[in-house]
Amino acid sequence: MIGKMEILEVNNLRKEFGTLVAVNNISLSVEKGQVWGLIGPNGAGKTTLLRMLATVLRPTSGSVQLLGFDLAKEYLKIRRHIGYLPDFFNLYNDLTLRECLEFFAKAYKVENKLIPKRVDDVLDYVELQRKRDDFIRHLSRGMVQRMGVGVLLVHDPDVFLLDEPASGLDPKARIQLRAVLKKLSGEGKTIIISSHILTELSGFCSHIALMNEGDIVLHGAVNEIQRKVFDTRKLRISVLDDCEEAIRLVEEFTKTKIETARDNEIIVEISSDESELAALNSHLVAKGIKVYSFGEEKTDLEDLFMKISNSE
Amino acid sequence: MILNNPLIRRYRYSLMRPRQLWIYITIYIAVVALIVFVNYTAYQYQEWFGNQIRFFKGLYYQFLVLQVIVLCILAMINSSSAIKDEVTGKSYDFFRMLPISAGKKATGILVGKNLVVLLLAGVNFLLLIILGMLGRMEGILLAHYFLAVISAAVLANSVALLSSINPAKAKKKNNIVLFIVLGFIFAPFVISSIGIAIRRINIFENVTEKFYTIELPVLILISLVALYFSCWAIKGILRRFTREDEPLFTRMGAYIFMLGFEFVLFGLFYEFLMEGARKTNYLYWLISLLPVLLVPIWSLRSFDRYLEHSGLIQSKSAGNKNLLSAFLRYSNLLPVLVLFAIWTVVSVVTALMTRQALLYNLYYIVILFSFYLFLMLLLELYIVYNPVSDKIGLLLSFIAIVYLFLPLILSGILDNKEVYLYSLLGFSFSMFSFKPYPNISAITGIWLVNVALCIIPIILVWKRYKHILAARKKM
Repeated sequence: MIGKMEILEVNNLRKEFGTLVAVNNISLSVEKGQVWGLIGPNGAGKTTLLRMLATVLRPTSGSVQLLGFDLAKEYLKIRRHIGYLPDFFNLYNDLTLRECLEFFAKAYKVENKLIPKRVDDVLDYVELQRKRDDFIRHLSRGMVQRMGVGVLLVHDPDVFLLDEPASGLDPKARIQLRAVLKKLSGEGKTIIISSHILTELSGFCSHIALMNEGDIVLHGAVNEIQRKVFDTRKLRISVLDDCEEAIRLVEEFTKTKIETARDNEIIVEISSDESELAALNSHLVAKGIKVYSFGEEKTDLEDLFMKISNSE
Repeated sequence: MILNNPLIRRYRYSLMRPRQLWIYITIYIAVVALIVFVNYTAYQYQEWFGNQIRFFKGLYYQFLVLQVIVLCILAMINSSSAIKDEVTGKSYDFFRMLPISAGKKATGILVGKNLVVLLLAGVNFLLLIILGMLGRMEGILLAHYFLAVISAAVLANSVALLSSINPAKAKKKNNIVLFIVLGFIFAPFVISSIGIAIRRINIFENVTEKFYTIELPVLILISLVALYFSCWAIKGILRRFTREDEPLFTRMGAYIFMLGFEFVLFGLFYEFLMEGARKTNYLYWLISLLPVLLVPIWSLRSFDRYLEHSGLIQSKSAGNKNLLSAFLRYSNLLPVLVLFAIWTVVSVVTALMTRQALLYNLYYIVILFSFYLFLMLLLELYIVYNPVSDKIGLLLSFIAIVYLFLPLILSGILDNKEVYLYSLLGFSFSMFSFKPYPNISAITGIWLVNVALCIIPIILVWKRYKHILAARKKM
């Protein structure tokens, strides 16, 4: 049974292409408003999984409930509620941006009188308003990717399925696209986004699923996984002077290990909870160390992925 | 409202821009002016037409041909390129995700992609009415012509669209092979139409043909047959747009199509079959055998479907009982047998109608079945072994070609007419010339060879079926 807030329930989903098992009995549950990052190397099965969820590829076995609809039987209904951006796509080159959005709005049954405003809003959202009457064939790749997201926004889907949206983009275009995606996640949209470039997903994924060779190796909330994978935290302590004394004091403290110490900056591994961190801070200050910066170093998805991959 | 269709709107945006529309209109006006100029010159200076009425009538038929070119050829090219454009333009995923009905998608492409063509055809249609009136042609005849052209256009365009809905192949090549195959199946109707046209150059004025015992104007008969097959093509399009990864025909659909084809063909041949000529009977047999060969291809279940189904039947069945028989029922071999059974029943009926010796005809049917079974086993081998080697199709095609042509070549080299019979092609053509009937032992030899040839494919297919079931069990 699907819970109140559960939007996607995947059970033992499998896809075989002849003798190749592309997705191997995957189970997953996604709640409304969560942003899931599907991470994994090329060939891990991310695209196959997304294509199955997007109803464009039929599973070999298993079941999927998306927004309460059975994917095997009600895939036409599901299509109204999802926005799927394929990995390699293009839009209609012979249309202008406005015409293209009007077409999709019409196809997704947006009321006629609402279409002009919706088109304007979307163009503003993806920051392509000034290009509205240009042909799509005249857009750069980065703009086409943003326009792709815009096409999905026209019908305001409940779930976004984005397959490697930033692949092949230059850094500037990538940053612009990332800004659009962050805006979406900030608005509480449910998003499943795949990438093998982890910096792309850092900062706005609430959950991740690490895929490898068709399996989900690990999945859950990013914080939980970080805690699970990294049994220690990393602290960056900056002091004004007397660094050696500070190092000695840190070493006195239980459950700590100095990783590096350079230029009055100490990186410390500590396997403690928040109260212990506070205690360490107080301990240093009490002993007269002039601490001007004390903070936990955030591990990004890249560290996480590497850590998990190495432990595999 | 048809123009409310989003796809028509999309094509209106891209095709009806004034800067490109004027080019089409200019070409059309130039063609029309050229036809009128050439005809008028011939009428005025060479007196080709005799009088003004015949001049306009002559023009009418030329514009009718132009209408056929516009609606059947130009439109067909447009209709068949729509999906290919989506696939090569990398927008096909967006297209297939559109939450509009399959009917709207089909209408959107057939009308939208042909907006310019329909505009020109509309103008041409008005010209045809004017020329028909000036040529003092009967209104009912004009209506028959329009019906025939429109039904031919619907058939051509729906078949063109249907054959193009194969995204995997759209990237690679055009649908020439499919067009040839489809052309082959509809050839009898086309050829008979052309035959009638040539035989009665007064064209179709007051010409009737029999369908069973009903006498119909030939244009109406052609239109009805074309519309009947259009319905199937449109049904196929709707299925392709809703269940993209399913075969074109469901099992039941394949059987109904086969029965319908036999019904139509039987109706067209009825008058001639009743004359009792043996050759007519065999001609009918061979033409009606075409869907028996082609429909299994259009209703083939893929290896992926086999995997899905084997998982399904195992999850439903408590033990191992009847798994293989359930799988066999699902396999592609079942419709192969049923379609041949339908053909056999119809063939026996025609043999009786034409007062042929039933026993000999049953022998023919058994031998034709052995040829057919071997070819269908090759097809099934392709389905089950393609995932193992994607080049298996080449090998199997080679075997099929050798099977069909080697006996013909050997027959020529050895100067032995019996060897010729060991090819399906040779045997089929020989049925017309056996006098009175061939030696039973000779044709039994053919049957035995075919049965022997079937043994290895049967073993291989069987092994593969068992492998699929075993693999599912481990999963």
